[in-house]
Amino acid sequence: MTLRLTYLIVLLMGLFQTQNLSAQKLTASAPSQVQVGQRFRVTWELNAGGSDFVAPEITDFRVLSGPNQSTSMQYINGSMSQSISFSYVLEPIKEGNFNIGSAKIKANGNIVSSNELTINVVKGATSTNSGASPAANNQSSSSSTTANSNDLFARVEVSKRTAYLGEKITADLKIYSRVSIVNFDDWKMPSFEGFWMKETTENQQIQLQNEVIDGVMYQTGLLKQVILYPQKSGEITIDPMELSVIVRERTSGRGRSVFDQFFGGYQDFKRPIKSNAVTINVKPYPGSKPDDFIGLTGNLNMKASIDKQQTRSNEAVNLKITVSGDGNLYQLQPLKLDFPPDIEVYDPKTNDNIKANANGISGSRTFEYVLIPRYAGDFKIGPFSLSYFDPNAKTFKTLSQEAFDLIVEKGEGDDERSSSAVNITSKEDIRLIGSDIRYIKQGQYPILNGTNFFYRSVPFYAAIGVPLLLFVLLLGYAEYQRSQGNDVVRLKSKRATGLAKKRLNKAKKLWDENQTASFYDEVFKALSDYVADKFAIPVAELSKDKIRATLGAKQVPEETVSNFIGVLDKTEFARFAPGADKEMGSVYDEALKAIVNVENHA
Amino acid sequence: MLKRGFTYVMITVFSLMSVLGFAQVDTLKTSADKAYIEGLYTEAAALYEKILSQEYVSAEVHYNLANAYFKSGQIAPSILNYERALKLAPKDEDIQFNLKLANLSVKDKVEEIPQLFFVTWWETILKAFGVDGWAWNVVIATVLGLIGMLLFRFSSDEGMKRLTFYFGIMAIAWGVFALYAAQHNFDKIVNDDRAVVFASTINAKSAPDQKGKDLFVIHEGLVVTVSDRLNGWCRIKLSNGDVGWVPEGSVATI
Repeated sequence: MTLRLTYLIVLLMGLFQTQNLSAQKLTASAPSQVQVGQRFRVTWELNAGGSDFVAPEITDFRVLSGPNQSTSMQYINGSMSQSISFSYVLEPIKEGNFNIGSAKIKANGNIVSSNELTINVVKGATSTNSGASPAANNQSSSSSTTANSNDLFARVEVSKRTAYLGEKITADLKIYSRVSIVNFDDWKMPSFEGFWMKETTENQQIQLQNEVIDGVMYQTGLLKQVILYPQKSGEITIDPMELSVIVRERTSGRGRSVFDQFFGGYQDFKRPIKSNAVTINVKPYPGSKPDDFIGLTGNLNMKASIDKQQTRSNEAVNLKITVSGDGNLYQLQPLKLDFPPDIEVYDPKTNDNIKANANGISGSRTFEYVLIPRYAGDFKIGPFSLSYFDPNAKTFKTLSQEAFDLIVEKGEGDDERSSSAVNITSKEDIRLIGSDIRYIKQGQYPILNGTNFFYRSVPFYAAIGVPLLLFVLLLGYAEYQRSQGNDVVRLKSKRATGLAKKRLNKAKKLWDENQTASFYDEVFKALSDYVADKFAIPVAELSKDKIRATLGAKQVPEETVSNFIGVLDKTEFARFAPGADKEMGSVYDEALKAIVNVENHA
Repeated sequence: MLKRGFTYVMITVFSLMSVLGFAQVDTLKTSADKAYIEGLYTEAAALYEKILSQEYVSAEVHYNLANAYFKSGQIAPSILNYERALKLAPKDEDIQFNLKLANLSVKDKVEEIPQLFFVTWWETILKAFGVDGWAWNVVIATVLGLIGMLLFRFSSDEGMKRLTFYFGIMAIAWGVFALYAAQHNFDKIVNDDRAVVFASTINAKSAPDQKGKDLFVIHEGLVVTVSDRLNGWCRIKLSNGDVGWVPEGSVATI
């Protein structure tokens, strides 16, 4: 029992102590790499109040000053925080790796130890600040700067010089210095025209590190790191970065104030520097782009999911499509997916989980589509596919997702409609899903040799000319016929006497045969035909008045005309009168006489 | 005798050549159609162009060529050939549809000057038939008019005479109008002063000179009217009434 209690107390105390230890920490810091003769500072900092600082033994370095103590106190939200620091300025004497042991301090009654440090001392350059010869010091007083361009320069370092369109390139904007830098000014970044750019070192402080180049140590600082994605093919030049560096240099002690002579004066100079320009050869995509190319280069995956596969009409269904992997996901546009036209789709919501670091941009971008099926039925959502360019395989790769089946049953709204007495379905316009030109014409179509119009062609003129010609011919013929027709009248009148004689001869024969009716008929015809033909009176218009008028006009004496008409009358009546057979002889003679009389005057 | 034989040989050779020529066009057409179906639009366009370069004329070939250009993304030659096809077959719906679609790709949107309603009506009437349609109208009207005149001449009935008189007058008036319409449409085809802009972007100048002031910018595929030509420059007029000069090479006559 007592043993257990002791354990508990020990455990609790241990906890307490570790808590104290974690809360109070003594941190040692110093540059990891220095040159021989270069002064540097070692600092131990305690994040609490403390006393009785014990520095480790420093044997491998010359101690120039220290320990210098400084304390700071802060009140944040009513609680006080305190820190205390001790620093030494040391100067390395010889090359090699040296250890600085841990320091100790008493804080809240506990002894706190610091971490140990290892410092790599390298060979110093001949013209360092600290080891400057008096001659150099003389020069520095007259000119603004002693250091040449080898002391201070900026470089743009890219991860690769040839890349495909959209392939990731990392560019480090670095400064190399062997003078002490106070500040940067007039910073002008390269424009990175032709690239899509993302900075990975935003809001980070510039930390100087030591780096050995060709055996000479430089302090280097990564000013900025950017990830570039080329947007066009061809040679793209990253123009140089420009900046001014404010450097602190020691001035000559002579001819100055007492203070300057004593402390050795320092002065700040502004030095403009310019980095190199880098040209990057951007290769276009080999081969033609697939239709579903999303414009990204890298290594991608696609995942799609649908929250339900069975639903009712007018109820929303969520479709999630996640594109993940390495590549410039920031440039990924919402995918253009084809959905069945009876499903209403809203613009997708985009969720990002993208990080940008020195390895490029990676993560995932999720598009959430809300689908609302408006009608019941079985639908297929998808299939979906997208293509990206894989720069390592140098080909386009296609990711595809098989179609989801979506069974939509009738929702409540639809039931009401179908149960109503009159079933009125709302009509819809035919929706145009896409537009394309109509297809080419195939089969046999006429290909004419030269421009051929019917208009102004020979057949056209013929088609007008021939009817016109026919028309003229027909008119001409009719005119000719008419002129010929006048001769017929004359001929008829010439022939009239002869015809009349012939008729009378026939009548005489009928008289001999004693056929009374035929006889009178013949005599009547002989007379009427004679007068019609002779004086060109149409048979239809033949009447006594007409005969009288016509003959009167022809200067035939009134007596002769009356005589003629008298005979004509007599024959007309005699045809039907009884006892006319006795008068046949006299009628014949009278008719002959009447014709001869008219003939004599005509 | 020898001379005569030579003539026969020549005739045979020429007729054979023409037959072979047509056969060649037929194979060209078939291979062009095939290239289009397989999606080789650039090749198809080149083959159709080859048919047309041999002085052959066909609305269908122009239409197919325009389709091939459209599919290969060349808007200006596509519109040019749709317009040429439409000239040969003004009432073809497919051509009208595709031309409308191709015109959507043209950047410039020019507001047309609204025409008076009777001008539109007049244009519609003139477009009721093509050149040859109107030509046939002329023929039919002539024949009917002549028949009317003959009936008028030979009929003796008063009512018939009056009827045929008016009939003949109307037929002759119709024939004259049809002749005018045929000539109007013929002029539009043969002396077409419209052109398609081929340069992707071009500034129309105030004078036929590089130093002229820039008046407006037009883009590939726009249809303009060329009203004058001078020293390698064209005076163009847009359908909104703007007038400017552009280099002759930047437009292609329809």
